[in-house]
Amino acid sequence: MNVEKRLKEWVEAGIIDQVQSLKIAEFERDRPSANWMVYSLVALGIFAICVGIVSVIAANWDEISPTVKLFLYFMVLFGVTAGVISRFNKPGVTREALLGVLGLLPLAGIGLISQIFHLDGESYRATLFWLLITLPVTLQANNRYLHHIWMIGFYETAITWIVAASPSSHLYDYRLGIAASLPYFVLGAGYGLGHLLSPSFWNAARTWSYIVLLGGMGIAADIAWSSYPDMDSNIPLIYFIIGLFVAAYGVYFRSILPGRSTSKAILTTLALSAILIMPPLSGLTHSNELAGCVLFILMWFGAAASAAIAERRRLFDLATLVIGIRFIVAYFQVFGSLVATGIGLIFSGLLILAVAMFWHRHRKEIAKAIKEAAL
Amino acid sequence: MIGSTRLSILSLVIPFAALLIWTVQLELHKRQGEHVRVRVTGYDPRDLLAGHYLRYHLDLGHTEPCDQQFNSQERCVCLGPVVDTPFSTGSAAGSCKSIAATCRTFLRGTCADGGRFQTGLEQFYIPERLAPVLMTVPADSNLMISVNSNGDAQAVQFFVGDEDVSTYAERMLEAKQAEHAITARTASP
Repeated sequence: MNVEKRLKEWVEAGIIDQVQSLKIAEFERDRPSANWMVYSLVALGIFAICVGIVSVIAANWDEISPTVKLFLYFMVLFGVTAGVISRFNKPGVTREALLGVLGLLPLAGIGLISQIFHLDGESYRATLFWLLITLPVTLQANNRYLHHIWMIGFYETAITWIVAASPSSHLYDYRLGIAASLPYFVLGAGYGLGHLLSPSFWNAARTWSYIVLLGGMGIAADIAWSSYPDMDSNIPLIYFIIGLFVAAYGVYFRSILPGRSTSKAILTTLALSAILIMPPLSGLTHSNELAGCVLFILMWFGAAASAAIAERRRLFDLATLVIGIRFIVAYFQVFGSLVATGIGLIFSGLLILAVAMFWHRHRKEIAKAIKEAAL
Repeated sequence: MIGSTRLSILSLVIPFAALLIWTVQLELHKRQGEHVRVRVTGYDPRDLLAGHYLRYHLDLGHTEPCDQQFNSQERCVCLGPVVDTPFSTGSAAGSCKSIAATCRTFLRGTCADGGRFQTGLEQFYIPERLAPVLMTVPADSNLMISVNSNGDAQAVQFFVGDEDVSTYAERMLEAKQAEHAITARTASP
């Protein structure tokens, strides 16, 4: 619908003629991406099925023996596996739906088996087992929902792995050191292998790695810069440094999103993220709030530049929004006492509105300027 | 390519195969390991029932496998019989290498926060329906475990005395319901 509305506007403006408009409309109708609504509904249905299965497992089945429960579960899993194999060379909604179920059903199975055998232990072991046995299935799918769920599970497992250790122990520091390097390793793989196996999977890998790195770790590091360092910290930085080199290697020798300007922007962003995150990990921040704020803004400026060069408008908007929010937070940190008065609040509100209007009116020019500067 | 297609199809069988092998391994461990009964105590009388699981602490006698210096490390406890009872309890504790060399039946675990020795046996699933009569660990509760030669143990059955926990809880539930029925009949005019 959106395409047809735009085509009508372009014809009326004389940009294209009626014949071209009809050809474009026909082309868009035949594109596979028009089926994404179907995929979304199928994904919702699969999710409801899997949640339902997990819920049924969690309920009391004391009338049914454990043997029967396991038999039924393995029959369902066998059936889904056989269905996937039979549809393997026939791309389409059915194939992707079955692959989605095959990717999520093992999680229900792990829950069922743990319950039947009264297994106890850290949750990260269960999710790690699920990640390992479903990775080949996930890589075979063209189902971006499964890819995103798998990546969310990956980083959730890393976080629960860290918190499973006692916070003041060497094990905690060791795990934190390894987990902090994971986004860089995954980005290296995501760029270096992005053209192989499953491009959609590597796209999800890069997306969630940036969310964890620029969002989660970036914000945590920004806050850490304003606190006193933990002089007892024994977080090993070797994994972080190796991860950074792997990411740089992947970005530099990638086959996807080519272009020297893109390389420069991404490498600059990664370098700035490392400068922001490493000092808090090593306990060298010395309560320097301003440095943390500046580094955070510069890191997101690098992300905005990368998005501008790649002509990813929504990502550019998001990056500039984050920068704007951080500026406003910095303003309140510096002039916090003014907010306490009515006049201060009015002035603050007017400033926020002015910044928002300036950004809304001039973001295209800003994006263009960044792109031209990079080229 | 045919080779890569075959490999791709084979990779789709991994979840089924992995879960099946794991289930068979757990069942074999349960059947073939040495069966030992150990008394249990509740470690938090206010919260012994979390969700659908009984949570408790193994009574390993006077052995102290964990203190601060062993935090997050693997330790082992040698199990020996308690005289004139069908139960076993801890007779010695130490590094797994030393315990394995001198002890026939031992339990492997990890030292968690606060010096707690965790073996993975600290919970037992019960139907939610039976929860109302199991809010505290009944006296004489004990756990039948299956221990292999590596010290890895698996919970087999939870007992109250010599009665399995489900039978005990069903009996208690019936008695409670009968008591409520009598109270209701007495209270009604």
